[in-house]
Amino acid sequence: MVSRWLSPRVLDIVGTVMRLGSAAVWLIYGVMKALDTEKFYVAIQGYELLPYWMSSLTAQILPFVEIIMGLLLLIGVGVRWISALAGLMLIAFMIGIAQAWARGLTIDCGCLGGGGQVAAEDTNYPVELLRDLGFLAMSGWLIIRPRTFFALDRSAYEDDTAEDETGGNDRPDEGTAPTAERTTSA
Amino acid sequence: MNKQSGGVKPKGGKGGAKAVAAVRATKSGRSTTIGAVAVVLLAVAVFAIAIFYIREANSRKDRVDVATAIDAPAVRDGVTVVVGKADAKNTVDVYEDFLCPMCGNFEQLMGPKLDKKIESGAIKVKYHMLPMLIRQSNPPGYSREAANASLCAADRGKFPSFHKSLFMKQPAEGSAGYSVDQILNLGVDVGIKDGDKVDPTFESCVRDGTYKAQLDQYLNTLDDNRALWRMEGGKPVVDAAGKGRFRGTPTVVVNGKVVEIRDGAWIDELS
Repeated sequence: MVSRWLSPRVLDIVGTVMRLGSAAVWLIYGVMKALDTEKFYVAIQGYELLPYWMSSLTAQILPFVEIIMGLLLLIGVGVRWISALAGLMLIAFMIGIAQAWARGLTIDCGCLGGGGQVAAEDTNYPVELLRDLGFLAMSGWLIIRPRTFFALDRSAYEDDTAEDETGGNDRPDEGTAPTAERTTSA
Repeated sequence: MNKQSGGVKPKGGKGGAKAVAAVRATKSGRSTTIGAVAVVLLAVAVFAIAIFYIREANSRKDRVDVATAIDAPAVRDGVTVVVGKADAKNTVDVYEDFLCPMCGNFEQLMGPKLDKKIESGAIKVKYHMLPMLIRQSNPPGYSREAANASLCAADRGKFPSFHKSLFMKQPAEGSAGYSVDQILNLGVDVGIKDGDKVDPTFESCVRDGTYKAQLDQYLNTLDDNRALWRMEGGKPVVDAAGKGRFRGTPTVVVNGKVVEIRDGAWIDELS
């Protein structure tokens, strides 16, 4: 017997929050980057990880990939797949941040008088990593349990979950296909 | 045991729910999904095209606007350029990068004041144009290209207006920066010409990158200059080996001491 607090309905609600939250994240960050791909290019170059042509390509394409992901999550299409892609991207971002932190990279320009710039940059890294970890957790939930409310793909996950839709009544499995019981009384 | 039932009836419970789901997924559910995805992709495509047109891109064919500068002696000294009378009382070193946005701000705000002090003989300004932000242009290298060209312009006696023009209409970080052709045309527009065409000495100086290697070398030596190390709380920021790093651009040094340029007071005091 499943406890009341972990009923399918509640888990669906949690999933819906995860899905809509993720959608908002990808949409907001995607649009922000799309509006200034030059600034995004500079940011990517700052990590000193990719050759410039990769930075250039990423800066121009990634924002729109993120926007598409956000919109698809919003309408609830392919939630599990989008979340898997999101998880991979977030892991890549976290690796990038971690290596920048480890290498002690700093920004070269725009520092009038130096001052607190270096310290500020250093303390941002853990915050950014935690933030991405949070987003990763949200995607992780949706990969494991993609069923949510108000989603176009809700029906696709109906048979993923152990509980059935009629609300908790466990009945012995009567078969996987509709069968006609046609008997005649003798 | 016989059961009384009429007709086909899908089983209840788990089997029934699966049946409903199967029907939904294969019929109207799938076409709605495809339609929705198509709408999403179309909307994003429209958005991307709109952004592309709205943003003003440097077409790389436009000529750089000329900003006329003061008429003052400007002499190249290695990879730096000294502008102003040789016997001026104060020396102001200005470390800049042509792509650096804060340097653009600095030039736009403080340029006129600096010019006045140069003309009055209160100061001479030594410009250190650094190839620092080479990775911040797309493709990389504009900072170095522009720095080299400005030195070539100095050799033809046109540094002040060349330098000022590149800052008044500064390309954005992350953009391509001005092309070699645009830089050469700017040279023509500030007066570096042979008849109607660009002066051939200037052109080969720019195209060959005559000063690029020296500029790169000079930038490397800046990290050795303790006076220019990045500071925090009054102390230089050093690594495990006790080595600091150049504090970045824009940096202004008055008579050997780095000044805080956030307020404009430092320049008023010079006479």
